[in-house]
Amino acid sequence: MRWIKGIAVVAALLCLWQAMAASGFVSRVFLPSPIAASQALLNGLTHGNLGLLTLNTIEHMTYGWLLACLIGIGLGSLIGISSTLRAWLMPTLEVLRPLPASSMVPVFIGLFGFTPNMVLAVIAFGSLWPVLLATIHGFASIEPRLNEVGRMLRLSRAAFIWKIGLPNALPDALAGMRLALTVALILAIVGEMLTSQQGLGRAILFAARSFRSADLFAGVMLLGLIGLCCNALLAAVERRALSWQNHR
Amino acid sequence: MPAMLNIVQTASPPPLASFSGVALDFGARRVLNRLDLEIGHREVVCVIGPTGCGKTTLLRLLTGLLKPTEGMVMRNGEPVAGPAADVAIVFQDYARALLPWRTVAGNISLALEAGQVPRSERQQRIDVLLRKVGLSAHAEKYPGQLSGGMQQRVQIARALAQEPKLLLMDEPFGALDAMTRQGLQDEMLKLVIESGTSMLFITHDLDEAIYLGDRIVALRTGPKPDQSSVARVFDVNLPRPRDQLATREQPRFLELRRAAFSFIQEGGA
Amino acid sequence: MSGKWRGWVVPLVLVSAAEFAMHGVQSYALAAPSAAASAFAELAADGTLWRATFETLGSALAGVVLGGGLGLVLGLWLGLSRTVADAASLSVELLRPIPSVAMIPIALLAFGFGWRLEIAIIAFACLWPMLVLTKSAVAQVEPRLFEVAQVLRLTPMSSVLKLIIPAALPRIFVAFRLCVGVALVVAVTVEIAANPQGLGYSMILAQQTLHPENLFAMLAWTGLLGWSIGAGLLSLQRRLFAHYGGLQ
Repeated sequence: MRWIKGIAVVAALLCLWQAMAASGFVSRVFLPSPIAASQALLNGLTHGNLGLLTLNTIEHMTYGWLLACLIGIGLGSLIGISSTLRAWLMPTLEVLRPLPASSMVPVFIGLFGFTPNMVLAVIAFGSLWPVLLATIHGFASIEPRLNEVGRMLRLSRAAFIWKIGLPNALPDALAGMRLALTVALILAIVGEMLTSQQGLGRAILFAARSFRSADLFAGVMLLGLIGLCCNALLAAVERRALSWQNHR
Repeated sequence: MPAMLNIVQTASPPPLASFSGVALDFGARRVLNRLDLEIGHREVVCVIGPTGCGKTTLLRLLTGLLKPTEGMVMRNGEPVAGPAADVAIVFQDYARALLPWRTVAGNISLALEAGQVPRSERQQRIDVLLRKVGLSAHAEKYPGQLSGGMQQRVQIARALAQEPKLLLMDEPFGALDAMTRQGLQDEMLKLVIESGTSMLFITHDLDEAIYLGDRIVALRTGPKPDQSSVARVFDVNLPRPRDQLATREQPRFLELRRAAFSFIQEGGA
Repeated sequence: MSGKWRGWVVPLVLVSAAEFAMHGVQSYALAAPSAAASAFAELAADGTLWRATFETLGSALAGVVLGGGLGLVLGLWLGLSRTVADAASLSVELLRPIPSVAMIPIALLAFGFGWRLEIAIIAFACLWPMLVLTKSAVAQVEPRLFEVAQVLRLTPMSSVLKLIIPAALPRIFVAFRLCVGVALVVAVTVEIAANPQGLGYSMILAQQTLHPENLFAMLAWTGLLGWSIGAGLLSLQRRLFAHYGGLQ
């Protein structure tokens, strides 16, 4: 019943869109009809290179994100486990946190030029913050009692990080990774728009410049789909990895 | 000097644990003062006293997580330097002391992993411990799925996995209901006697202290500079094995109960 | 309290190290902190800095008002009516994952470069967090309050205005704070990726005209702006909702 209502509303919105496009109330130059957009989508996927472009964007996003996760969790564990390091570093990290990741784009352009490495650096740097800060928070919030349990059992520092610290930080780190993936997708698109890197970001900008609005909408739909799937995928991973939380 | 003392002590083996002239300050406040106490092998010592008298502090001194301001805390004639493999602790707040992301078996395994028990032996030892605390049917459940009493059994099993010589119990049953508590008291006594472990048991429940202990140590709050923290020591002298009904009806039990109760009524003077 | 000074050590060391490393070095990518500081003074004196700041903050504010306002109204509606929430959830779940920057080409077609392009993207980005968080804020209102409203025989309108909104207000403010952060990030991102105005564009321009000292001056200013707005809103939140208790 819930689903039927939901689908009905989506259908109604599509009809409204179709009516608006058909009536000419909104110029067709920037609002194609949903039918035209889906035709462009199908055509692009079957005859054109839309599928390849999608894979390109996913590739850029994933590499940068994986790099960010590795660095973020590694560095976050080291900083988070030590209250001394936290006292020295956290104020700096807190001040840097609200800095828009994209504002590092000009810096990285200066360092790397308009190259794929620049885009990778931007994506990795931007999506690093959510993972890093969440991991640090996860380590900082270890129940003090568990610290004592670790000491009573004489766990080594490495064993404590691996057996108590990381599992304790996992819920936070996974939430950070989910946020980071959203950031990574946005920065992948920005990177493609700025450089000559192949991908959906560049494709939709070109479509807009040559007034091919149907192709533009097809690309935007695919980007939305990437966002949707990534989120669903990570949510599923979270549910699996954190199944113990459901019993609390 | 200490060397000479050791030579003298070799005549009779040193007690499992001992406090001599121990004092501990938290800031300006003296929590423990002039404390002398010995815990023998296979002995169950219960510590009672009002809130804030330093019961838990006394226990933490034995873990080595806390160092005395004055005096010596010894184990087997050696000063306590830090946590030892054969000293295990059971905390009152079981929900915080267990790893919520590990199953019951996984939580017990933590102690075996820490004790470098080879992987091949772990499963069998976990099974034995699970049987001892009556959780065989719940090995794959998470702590969050268990009742308070069952979670506390997991913690007890984890402590026993260390095969401790000395088991420290910090008001372990304080948060449980009366029925669960009585059941756990009996199981605990059985396990401790079976394994020949000594136990230091902190409680604020007089009946529990008498029922479990060989000796009861009553602490006082805010000892004066010339006063010892130990207000009184009661020798229990009740036969073992003990029984929830029969033991509690014995004249000696009632006598002890009356003595300890009036002692506490008088403000532990 | 006495450990506060520790937070200053790391940034001071980094800045001094940068100053030392850049001393006497001619670079088109990096600049010494002292050079950035004097560039900052120049940019502030000739008004470039203030104009760019005005353009970025103005767009961000307009975007928050438009997108956040719409999100607030929709969120209240969805939060109050189970039927509406069921009907709308699928549409929201389908539209929300579209990355905000993917809307840049569409807005570019519709509005061309300028304020409207940027405001539209920011509004799109702010709409979803505001909607989702307001909805959950209403959902988390103590159920007893709805019973109070019934017992007092309040009209639906006055129970919403007098009980529900005030009860949900602390959480709604948290959502607003989040939106302001998102708006700043998206504003700079849009300016970097496409729109020739504001702080983001001035950073790109500084990089392309090989003035790294201007770039780093703008970068530090952007960071400072983001941090102080965030910190200001946080302390405002603490002041406003101190009497509610409980909420962070």
